[in-house]
This record gives sequence, structure tokens and C-alpha cells, in this order.
Amino acid sequence: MLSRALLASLAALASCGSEPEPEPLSSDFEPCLQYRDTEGVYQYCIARYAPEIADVRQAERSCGMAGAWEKRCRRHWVSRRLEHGSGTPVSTLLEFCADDADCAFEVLDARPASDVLLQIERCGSHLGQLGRDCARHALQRWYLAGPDADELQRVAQSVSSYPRAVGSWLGACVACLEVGRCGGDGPARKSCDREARRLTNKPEGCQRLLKRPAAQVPASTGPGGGGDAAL
Amino acid sequence: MRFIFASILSLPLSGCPAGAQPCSALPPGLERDKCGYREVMVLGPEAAEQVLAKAADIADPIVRNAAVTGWLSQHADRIADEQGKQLCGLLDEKERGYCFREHYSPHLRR
Repeated sequence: MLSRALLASLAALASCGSEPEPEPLSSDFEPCLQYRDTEGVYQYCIARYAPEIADVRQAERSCGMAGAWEKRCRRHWVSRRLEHGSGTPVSTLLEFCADDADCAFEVLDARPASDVLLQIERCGSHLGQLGRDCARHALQRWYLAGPDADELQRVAQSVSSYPRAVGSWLGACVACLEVGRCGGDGPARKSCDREARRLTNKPEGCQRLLKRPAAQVPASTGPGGGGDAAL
Repeated sequence: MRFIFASILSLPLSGCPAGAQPCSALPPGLERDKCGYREVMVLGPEAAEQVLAKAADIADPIVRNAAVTGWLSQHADRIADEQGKQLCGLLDEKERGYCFREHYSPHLRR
């Protein structure tokens, strides 16, 4: 009885603060070895160093070992690739984001498609609730690039998941850039007419659209101000 | 011999004798910081002030970041924004921006 209790205590003592031996890691994680006896810190450390690994499969495996910090690990890996213009394809980055919509938002904002309609489609298919903000960013970039009347017409005739946002920015083009006119029909047309009228009556609103860098426009600003979420 | 047996048997079953004394009793260094991490991680949302003080006392940036981000990931939605932002402020520069964005960015809180 005594010896069994003694063995249990010794076993518990021997395992103090340690976890089952993890798989060996590359030398990139050498600075983390000193934290190996404290699981959470070790996992955080892996999440911290994994973004330095260029190889996507190795990074994937490493982030998988970051426990509660896996999402953060993936996010930092993606941010790092974006910062350094790594040339990693957008599809790979989006895949690496897994189910983190904000991560995917960062990717789409940093590497937008050159066609605003394609970008808006991507926003809708990858970002869920954040899709509307992403579409607004895309539309503001498009507006700032100064679309011509043909481009305006092309966008006006398109069908998108965010017709009111599209319509608002079309209205901004009509009123502020004095390009083309509101075309198409449905919610986008109505929104365009409304925004064009508003900005024609209050041209100072056009200045506001120029001042804000696209990536920093909160959802409550920009033409229209809202509405697509309900669509 | 009997004394040795008694001493071993009196250890908690977790087998971590270091947990018996406060981290502040340990000499400065990595072991004290890891101890601080463990102390932080068992605190609940009502102890945000304590977390602030304990995390600030952790010198190793990796351990401090792990403590702050780990604790916030569990309790950020149950503490005052001001306290959460102060905790984010304890992180190193690389982590700080992400912390503010993750927990306090308006577009992620809608």
C-alpha cells in the first residue's frame, strides 16, 4: 500500500509541469526549447516563430502545434507573407487563414483583384459578415482610381452581393467625378440615384471620400453608410 | 527513512512543489517568469487588476506575451475595455497591434 502510494507520488513528481514529448521541431524553434516544460508558453513560442518559416507545409504543421495560439500563428504567417511581398498566391494565403475571416480580409485588402467585381465576389465568398466592409474598401479603391463611363456602366450592370454599396459608390462617381450616370436597375440603381442626389446637394461630401485611405474606412463611413447587411 | 517517505507523500498529487510558494519568492529569472505565467492563467475575469500587476512583473517577453494573450483569449469579453487595452499595452510591439485589433476593433465586435 505504502509502496504504491510512493510510486504514484514519484511518478507525479517526475512529470511535474511536463507534457508528452512533442514531435521534434526544426532549428527555427530552438529559442522555444527553454519553455518546453510550460506547455502554454511553449505553444505561444511556436506560434511566434512559425511565421518565419517560408515553406507552407512546414508552417502548417508548426502552427498545428501551437495549441490555443494556432489561429494567431496562422494570422502572423499570412501577415508576414503579405509584408514581404512573398509572391505566395492569394489562394494559398486564404487557405492558410482557415476559418479566420479577419485574416482573409487582410489578404483580400492587401492583394485585391484588379477587377473590382471579382474583388467584391471574393469578399462575399470568403468573409461572411466582413464581406460588406471588404466590398466597400474595394469600391473606394475603384473610385479613387477614377473609373471612366464605360467602366461605370459595366459595374452598374453587374449583379453583386452588395448592390447598395455598389450603387452608393456609383452615385459618388456620378456626382463627384462627374462621370457617366446611374444605370442598371434594382437596389443598386436606387442607391446610386440617392447618393448622387445627396452629393450633388452637398458637394463637400466628395472631399471626405478622397481623404480616407481605403483600408481605414470604418463601415459607418463612405457613401451610403449601410444597408447591404440586410440583403 | 520514514522522514523521506513522509516528505514525498506530502507532495501534492500534481507533483509541482514550486506551486506552493508565491512566484515573487523565487529569484528573478525564467523559472520565476514561468511561475508567473501559471499564476496568471488560473485567475478569473474578476482579477484583471492582479493580472496586470503579475504580467508586468514577468520579464521574459515570450512568457509575458503568452500570459497576457492566453488570459485575454479566455476573459477579454468579460473585463472592462480599459483594462483589456492596458493588458494589450504590456505586449511587445509586434503583438500589441494584433491584440488591439483582435479584441477591440469595431469591425470585429459588431
